[in-house]
Amino acid sequence: MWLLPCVTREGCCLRLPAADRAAALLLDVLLAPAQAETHAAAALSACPGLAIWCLVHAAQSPAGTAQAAFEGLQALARWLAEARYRLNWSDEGGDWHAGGADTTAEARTAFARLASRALAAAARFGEGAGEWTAEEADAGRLLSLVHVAPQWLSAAGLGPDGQWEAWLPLSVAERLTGLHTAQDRVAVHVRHCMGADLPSAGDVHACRWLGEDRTAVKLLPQVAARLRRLAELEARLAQLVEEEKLAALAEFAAGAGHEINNPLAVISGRAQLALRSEGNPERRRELALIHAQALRIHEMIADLMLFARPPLPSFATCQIAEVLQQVRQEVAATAASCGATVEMRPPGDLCIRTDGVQLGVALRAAVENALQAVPPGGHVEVAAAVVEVPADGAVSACPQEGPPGAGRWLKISISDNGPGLAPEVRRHAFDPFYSGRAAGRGLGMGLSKCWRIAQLLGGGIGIASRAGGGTRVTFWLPAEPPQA
Amino acid sequence: MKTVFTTGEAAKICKVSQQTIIRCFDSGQLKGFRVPGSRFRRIPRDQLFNFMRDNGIPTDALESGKRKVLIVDDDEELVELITDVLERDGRFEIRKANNGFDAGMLVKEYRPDLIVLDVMLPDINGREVCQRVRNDSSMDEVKIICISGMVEEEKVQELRNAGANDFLHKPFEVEKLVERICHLLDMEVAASR
Repeated sequence: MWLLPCVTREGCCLRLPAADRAAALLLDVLLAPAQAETHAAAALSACPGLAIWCLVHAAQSPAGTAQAAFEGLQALARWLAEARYRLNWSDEGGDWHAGGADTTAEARTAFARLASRALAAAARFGEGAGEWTAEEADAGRLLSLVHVAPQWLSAAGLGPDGQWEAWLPLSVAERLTGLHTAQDRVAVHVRHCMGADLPSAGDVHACRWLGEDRTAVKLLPQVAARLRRLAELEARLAQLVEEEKLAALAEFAAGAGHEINNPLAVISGRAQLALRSEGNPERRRELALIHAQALRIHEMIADLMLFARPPLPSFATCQIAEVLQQVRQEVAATAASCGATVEMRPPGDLCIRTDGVQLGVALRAAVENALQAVPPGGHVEVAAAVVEVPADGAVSACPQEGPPGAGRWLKISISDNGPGLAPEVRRHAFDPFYSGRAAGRGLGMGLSKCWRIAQLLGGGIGIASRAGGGTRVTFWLPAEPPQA
Repeated sequence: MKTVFTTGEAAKICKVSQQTIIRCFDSGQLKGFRVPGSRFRRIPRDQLFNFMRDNGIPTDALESGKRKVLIVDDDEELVELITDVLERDGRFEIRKANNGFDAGMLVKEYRPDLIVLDVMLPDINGREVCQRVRNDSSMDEVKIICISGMVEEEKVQELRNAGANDFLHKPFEVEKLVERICHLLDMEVAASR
């Protein structure tokens, strides 16, 4: 047996135990991301302590991470698989008790008995699996596995008078509270399975709670720490590559823009001069066209150069709801012409210190980009909320749209139900004039402008998309309160 | 050709203040007459020429009667375009330079009324040319219009701070260029074409 990292809430620290073999299964979760969910389900099924620890951990997670209702074991496995980098399986800080040396023999036996009881109930529930729908079987497996959670939490340090319900996600706590009276098929059968006799000492040994295999237990914290570091480095590398690439493009744009404007000045100037002395109406029209087209190139170049060398932001107190309102008015005509709706979900009366004008320009470009992509009758939603990113939560499950780092951020997401972007196109989503985009979406400078402004305002921007499944552009802005 | 000048016109041609011309007129250094029935001073062309020659003031502006423009840009086609535009107007005398060094030399020698100055020159930066002109008090009257393909407002402001009187983005409306030149030189705009 070994102890999982401590989970703390309101000054109370719980140490939940896990079986030795759970460590090996967790190594599989960490090392095989493609099958992480399958391995997570296996680890949870083999170790009720781990399942309860995950539920407690999920309930403690900061806002914005998993607060999902855990209806069944599969949902918990998904949470464990997704959360694997966030979990503090680190050997630093002394919260790692591979040996479980500070637990008493009585406590170890108590945990072992509880584990055996839970595993026996889960196994018995599984025997009748044929009668159940997939959802019922999944819910029953979780329920039978964690039905001992109140006793378990009390043995882990909560004490007999502790409010165990507060430590679990609401959906699970309610299910356990009502388990003895609920009349649905699953609850009735779980009650029946729970009736199993307490296992004998032999059974306790059989489920290897007191097993001798310590290799995986020792490796787990080291592997977890290294993988977390690797994930951080990968995310940082991807971000650096993107920043370097766009910085190089900006430099190119500034140089090329200047050079191109010289011949443009000659072309348009010559056309204007020729126009003065031209009497033939057809040729006058052609000369005017040359002049106008030269100016059109100039406007594109000006956009590029604005991207390359944007004006410095002017920071002031800014009410986000007002900016969103302004953007809504500005895009109303475009939305109407696309037959699409734009919904704004402002963050109350939140004020932050930023450049409201530039933020408005960026949001408008992002919304217009989304409107170009949605089908007639499509929908674009702009949602803004403040997110606290803890120091160990900075590595996102989805690095393409995660926060730029730890701290307090204003997160503004622009989601659409248009066709998504292929991964190759996504990589170039912020490149000016990238030619490989799906028709309609983001030609020209729109998203490049967004990227540039997000950088200028001290934040970042990400884009997540599935081909065929809509796209979400996420702005992260430092949510600094206005200066007093 | 103009034969008689007011003190204001003489001041512009000599690139000194009107007060200086009036002082020289009143002390007899610069000969002329007063309009009968009034106190207005008038200076005949030959008297003004003598005055300029005696005081080492370049006389070419007086010789042609045209306003002198120096065009500085390393893009020869662009220099040619602006030359064509100003020559068609007929009121300008033009010299050209393709780099900052030549521009510096010509400014002193040619003493233009106005410089059309590209900001990105192959040798020295246009802003530096502005500063050098402005550091020489004998060239206080020289007007400078900068032209550039860049768009950053901060850079444009830097140029103005360095002494540029006006700024035009490339590409530009040729009529606007003439208009701005006329405005800076107190000339009628309508005469263009």
